[in-house]
Amino acid sequence: MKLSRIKALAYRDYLIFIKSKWRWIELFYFPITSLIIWGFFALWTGEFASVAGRIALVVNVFWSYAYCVQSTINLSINEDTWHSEAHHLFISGIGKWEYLFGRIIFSLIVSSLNMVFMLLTTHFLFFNISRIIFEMVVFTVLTALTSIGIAILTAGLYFMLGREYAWLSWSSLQFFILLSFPLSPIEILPHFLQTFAKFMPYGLFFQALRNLLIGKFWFRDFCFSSLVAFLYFSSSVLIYKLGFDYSRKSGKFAKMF
Amino acid sequence: MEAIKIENLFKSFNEKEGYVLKNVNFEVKEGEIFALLGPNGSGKTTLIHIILTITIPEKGEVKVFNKNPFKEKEVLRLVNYVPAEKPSSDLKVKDFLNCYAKLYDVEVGKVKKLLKDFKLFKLRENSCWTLSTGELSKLSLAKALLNEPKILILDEPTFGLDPKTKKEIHSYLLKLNKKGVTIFFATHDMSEVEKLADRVAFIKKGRILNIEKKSKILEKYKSLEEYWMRFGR
Repeated sequence: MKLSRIKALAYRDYLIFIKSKWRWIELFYFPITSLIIWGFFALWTGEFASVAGRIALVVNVFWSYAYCVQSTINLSINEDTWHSEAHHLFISGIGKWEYLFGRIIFSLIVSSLNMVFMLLTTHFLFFNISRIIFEMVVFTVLTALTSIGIAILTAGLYFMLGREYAWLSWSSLQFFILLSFPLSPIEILPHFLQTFAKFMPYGLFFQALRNLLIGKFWFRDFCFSSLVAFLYFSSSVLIYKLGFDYSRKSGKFAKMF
Repeated sequence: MEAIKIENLFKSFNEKEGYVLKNVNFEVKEGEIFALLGPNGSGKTTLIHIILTITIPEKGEVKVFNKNPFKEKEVLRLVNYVPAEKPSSDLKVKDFLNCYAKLYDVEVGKVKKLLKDFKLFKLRENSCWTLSTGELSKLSLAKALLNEPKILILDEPTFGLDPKTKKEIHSYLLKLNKKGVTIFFATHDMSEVEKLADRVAFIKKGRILNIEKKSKILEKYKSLEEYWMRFGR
């Protein structure tokens, strides 16, 4: 694995990103507008249910951030298929891991900007987050790890299933977020769903985040959530490898690009 | 020395359809221009994809300068490829090439020279997708020359081009070959084979039916069209 190739790929993603207005819309316009909608909701509910409003707002920030990290990686891969470019990339000697790491690095840079902007907007427009800024950073790191795992899983499935599954790039995270029940405590779910939600990539993460915001002990859930994220990440790496290799055997890889 | 050597190569995509490449054996000598002829769906592009390691074969071996590119990936740095599909990137022409210059770890100054060589310098600030088919073919070829490959593989290099652009690309390929670059190309275009090739292989339904020097073919048959009809019908 060569750092120069990873850097070159990240640079290429940057140039494509600068030119793609729809990517700016995806990664900045939608997150910021929905943040503002929920932010004013949080301000209004401050009169009678301040914590509920804040939970909705902060969950929305992390949800948007998770989408930003995951979709930036997967949409870059999609763009290679749409522009018939991956052949050119892979015959330059770039390996499957370099291909992925280049995307991860660029995604982390763009998503960090997105997160800084969202946290600053939250702080200056809606409520003071300076007391929990350390926790926000720690939760951001875990969200990034989990979302990179989902992106790697999505990329693996995309290679395995072919280009007609490009829609996974937009939908895979939503599926996991839905089953992680971001706005409701796990305890209120039917029993069979509780166990299920705990093993979803963001289930215990959102539980920990909600507990942080209502002043409850959150560290235990956070630790378990980190463990779940690590398991997803490791399995995703395996699925990516299998998907990539299968794609080259089945000829789907050649047809994708 | 063989630039490319293919031994006992088999490939199938699914059991129902059987093998798309069946016991393919041939070699491309260093410095020659080798044409792969065959009807649509005969396995030409699959064969190219296997040489480039984009597709994994079932059985058999591929050697590039005596090295297995699946195991020693670095040997691919000596190869480049011009696919049949043209790039349609949103990037500016100069940025498109600059990115690949960085990937190949070559000086960015080389981009300027290639842009001038291929008469693309004036278009350097345009987005790739705004270029004509001929300009995109030149861009694709310019990209493929960034790393100064010793082997250049082309899939239908002049398909859909007007005679003037076709001529320009042919003369560029001949110049490259004079400098020692081995050229391996797949085509349906007989005039292309006539102008460029030293040796020709005919592939049909995944089998190599004939490999011969172009001069011998032209001795045996009235024309390359007749040669095609002999094996391709």
